[in-house]
Amino acid sequence: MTGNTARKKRYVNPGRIAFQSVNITLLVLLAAICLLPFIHVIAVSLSNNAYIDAGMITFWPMGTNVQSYGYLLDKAAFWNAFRMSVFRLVLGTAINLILLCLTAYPLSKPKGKFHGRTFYAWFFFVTMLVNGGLIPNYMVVSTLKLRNTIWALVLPTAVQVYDLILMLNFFRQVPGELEDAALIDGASHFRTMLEIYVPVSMPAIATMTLFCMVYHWNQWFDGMLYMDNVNLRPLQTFLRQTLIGQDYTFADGDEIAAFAEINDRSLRCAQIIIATIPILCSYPFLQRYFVKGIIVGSVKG
Amino acid sequence: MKKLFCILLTGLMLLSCASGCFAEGTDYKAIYADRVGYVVDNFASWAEENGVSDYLKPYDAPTTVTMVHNYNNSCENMIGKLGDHYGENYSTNRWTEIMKKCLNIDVQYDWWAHDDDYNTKLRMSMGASTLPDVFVVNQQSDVAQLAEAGQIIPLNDLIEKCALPEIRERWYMDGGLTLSMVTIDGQIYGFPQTLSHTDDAAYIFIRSDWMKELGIEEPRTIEDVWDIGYKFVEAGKAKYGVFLEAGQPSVMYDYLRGMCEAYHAYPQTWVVTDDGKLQFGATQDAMRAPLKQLQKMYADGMIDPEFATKDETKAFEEIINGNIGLVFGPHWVMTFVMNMYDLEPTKDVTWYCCAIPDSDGNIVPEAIKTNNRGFVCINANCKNPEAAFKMLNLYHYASYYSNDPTWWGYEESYSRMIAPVWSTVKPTDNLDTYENLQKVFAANDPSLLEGKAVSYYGNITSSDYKKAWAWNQMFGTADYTPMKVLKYLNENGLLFYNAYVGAPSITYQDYWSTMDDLTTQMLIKVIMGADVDTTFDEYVKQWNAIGGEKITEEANEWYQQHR
Amino acid sequence: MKKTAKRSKPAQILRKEAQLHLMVLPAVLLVLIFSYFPLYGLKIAFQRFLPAKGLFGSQRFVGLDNFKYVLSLPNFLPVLRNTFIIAGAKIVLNLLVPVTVALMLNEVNSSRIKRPIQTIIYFPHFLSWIIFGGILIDLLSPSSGIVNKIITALGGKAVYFLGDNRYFRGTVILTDVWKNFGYGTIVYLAAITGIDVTLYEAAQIDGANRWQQTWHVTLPGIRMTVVLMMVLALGRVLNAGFDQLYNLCKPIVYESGDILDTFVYRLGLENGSFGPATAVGLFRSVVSLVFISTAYAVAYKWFDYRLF
Repeated sequence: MTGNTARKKRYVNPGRIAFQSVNITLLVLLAAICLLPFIHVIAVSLSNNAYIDAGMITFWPMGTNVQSYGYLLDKAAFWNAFRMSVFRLVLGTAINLILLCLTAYPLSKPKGKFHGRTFYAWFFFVTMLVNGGLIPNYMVVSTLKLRNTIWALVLPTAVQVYDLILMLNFFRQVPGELEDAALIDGASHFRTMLEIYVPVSMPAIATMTLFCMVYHWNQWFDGMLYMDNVNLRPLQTFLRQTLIGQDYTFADGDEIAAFAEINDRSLRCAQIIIATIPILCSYPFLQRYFVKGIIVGSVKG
Repeated sequence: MKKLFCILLTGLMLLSCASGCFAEGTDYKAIYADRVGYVVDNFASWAEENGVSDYLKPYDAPTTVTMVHNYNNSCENMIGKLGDHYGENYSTNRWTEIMKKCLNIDVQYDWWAHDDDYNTKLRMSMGASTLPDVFVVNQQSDVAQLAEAGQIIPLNDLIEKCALPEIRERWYMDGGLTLSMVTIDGQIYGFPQTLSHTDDAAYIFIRSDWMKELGIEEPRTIEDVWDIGYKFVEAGKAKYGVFLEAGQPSVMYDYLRGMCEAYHAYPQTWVVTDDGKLQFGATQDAMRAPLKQLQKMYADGMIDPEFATKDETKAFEEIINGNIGLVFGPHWVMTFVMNMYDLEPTKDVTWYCCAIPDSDGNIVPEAIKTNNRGFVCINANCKNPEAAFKMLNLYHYASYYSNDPTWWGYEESYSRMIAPVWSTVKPTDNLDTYENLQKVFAANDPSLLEGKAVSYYGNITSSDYKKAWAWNQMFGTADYTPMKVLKYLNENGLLFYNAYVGAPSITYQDYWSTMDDLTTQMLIKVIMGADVDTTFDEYVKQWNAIGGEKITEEANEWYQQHR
Repeated sequence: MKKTAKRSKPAQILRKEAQLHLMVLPAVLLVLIFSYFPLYGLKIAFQRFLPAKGLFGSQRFVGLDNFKYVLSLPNFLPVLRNTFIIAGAKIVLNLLVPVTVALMLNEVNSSRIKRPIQTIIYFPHFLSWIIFGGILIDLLSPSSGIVNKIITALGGKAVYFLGDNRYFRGTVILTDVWKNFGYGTIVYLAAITGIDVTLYEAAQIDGANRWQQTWHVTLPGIRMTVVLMMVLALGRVLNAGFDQLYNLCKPIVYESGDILDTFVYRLGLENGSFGPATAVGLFRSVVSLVFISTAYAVAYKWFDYRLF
């Protein structure tokens, strides 16, 4: 990667070896620390509740069983929610990416070439800082009759301003000569964006794809707010409602007593694993895009 | 990696399909048809016989009633099963069917929301002005707001004319206290979905197998109780003397309350003091004694040093792995510890339960609250306000007088919760259930079971020995059950209500959470070692200054009006 | 070859740039509808807002009373202080750590080691604070937690990380970095891979070793990204992390760990407290706007560089 592959093999500096070993050791340690919480969650998901409730599980399951997974995957509600989340993720991310590229390209141009850019940039940026509050947002979605539809989840979130600013920045770093060459060939802005900027910025786009996917996958609040029909709940909304402890304020004794039966930490952990695995698995697929984009040969003159 | 994942996923999906394909022994369709059919066929004649035909008269034309509703984790578990067996779901189920067939009422739900989110969603509907005809309101302040904005109608007349006399009787069993919660200027703005009122009562649970082993006698005074805690630790049986948690403030008092009550202190209750005025229990001098005791115990290492950061579930781990043998708590504590039954060698674990004594050996009075599942309010725009009452009446009929009340109310334990409006139980519901169970066990005759006793009986006689053990400890025939204690407390007039339950005033709404924070922090600081007297005095001063004085005034005003 | 520059009339400019405006249009419309229209709700900050009366209903105008109310609450100043400190430290560390890790990862030649590590460090980001919080309580327990066991084994005294006001903030900040550094690392890695390879070659020809290459090529190469991330982070200067603090901050450590968001959340438990909550939100928006405008102006006036 980076510059190393271009280098010919030379005599290896012992200092470099020392550095590499320390570097890799530290990184591996870091990765281990990041992995351990997950191992704990997996262990709990495979354990018997008695051991869990006694606080005896650290990294290895006890009383191993896959009951929690079986129970969970048996629920129609779980699969409904899963499908909903996948649908939302695909549609939402697609919309995000299209809008990102479309919008970041003009904004990345200097003021001379696009006179409205600073105005538009601030127009978008301010929305990151100010929010009208729950009720007005709810009313807009409600008035547009978007409640109970997928659009309530993907339209308000269609423009990810944080990612837009990042994308704008990445686009700005595309060498100007590439664009000039394209324009001389008579390409429209749209084609330039699509055929030059996007391929060259593959690492950035892969990053944005990942961020948008993770964002959509993890959202739960809008699912709760706008999906009135329980069958339309996305996964995280569904999970949160079986993950969070009950509010006892208005429960009666027998509800609380029975809560103990479903206060199943093993089940909760199984839910987490099932809910997280898909998105984790997507990351390696995107990694191959984290390489240098197509290098269009340097343009002279 | 990709392939592996796909295989795994397919495998799991196949598994889920397979398990759903097992043949079922019970003919659910027939059961459903029978139960629903009975209600449809017999409700009118029952109403005739009992002179309450007016209350259950169907509408001539189909009448739509829009509603919203809440569900919780228990409902989620249940509705899946009900869906499998009967094809029911939240919008279409046994209740909506009888509402339609008996009363010609079409119930349309705008949305269903989880308990935790219900209040937020309701406020969205309020803000967006999309409230339905009939809806449940949990927060008193919301009821007051809705009343002030003219969004809901007063129900005084309707309660008189449209609610079954039996239901009305139950609403007034607590002297009208519950209804006074939503009464503003004499107008009642909602009717309650009643629950048992006694759930707050605290009991003392002690590991009786350890008591037997160490030859300890039953405690007579509160000092004896503390002594037992110490003895357990000294004998190496327990790590800590008593259970306490403060990491989850919303339930902290469930475990702290009992300890304070032993010293006649009531931290969450408005009590009537000697001069006939109301004061808030947390700021009364009686609090000093329990605080001093707890401080001493903390310093002696009798309380988990991490109690302030552990939430309920975490704190319970210490009980479950046998590190604590003394718990002050509500009756459901037993179900929380039933997992200890699985860990060997604990099959001989038994718990002793007693009422809370004070230093003189007298049983102390305990505070209870007007518990309910929210208030049903009726939109000012509702064209058929009496519909809500008719639905409640029909619910009552099905839950008590149909040919299978348990199927209606306690199928999969919670089938009553998906009814449009529900719960007409008496405030003494748990106690009544207990008495019924005792009768049944004594006569060995399950046919005598009533109401939720059926469900509880099932738990007590369950083949799951953990469940059976836990429920037997609470409601069964074990020697020392919390319900037995409750019976005693009730019979001896040792239960009293929180004296101020009026709708929160502006001051209360604005400052109560801050005052609550102050109280919680003071409690924790003192238990962990801060000087009791100075810290407590400082706290009372602050509490009063922020809003306590004003709120106490308001409480007393309300109390005078509503005596 | 550029056309000879002529002073173009606005209409002509518009025509030339029409396509660019068109490309921006969909996003502009969406943002207008879903972000700008709801700003009408900001009026709630100046009202005694009762949801029951409806958003467009006759709500009582109370001017700055909501702001005064929040400021008057006894714990407000400590809460504000906590918010600034925690958010500030998070901004700094959530910049330094990911950049460092990205540079470290960049030095790893073997992609067989690099890829898994890259993937794994992103994992904690996916655990919600509900779960992560529970794990931390175990991990950091003074009596049974691994961290303290290591500390005592090395001869130190056990630390009550989550229950001691002296250590709580540090714990909050570090665990947040732990959870989120993977996210920033990805961004910086993407930026690093975007650096022109020829620059490295040129540096090597000039005799630069690996350290000098990093200092003179890599860091400058990602400079703009770093600055941008920092400025964007400034936009959340008063966002100290509700989810985390809600799950970790118990009453015993309110003094050092209670932040604006959790504070306002508790205020609203009884009745929503829409007015004060919106007022606090508005306050935060204004503060963030001031910070960012300043940074933007500084970058433009002194470095002739538009941050965005």
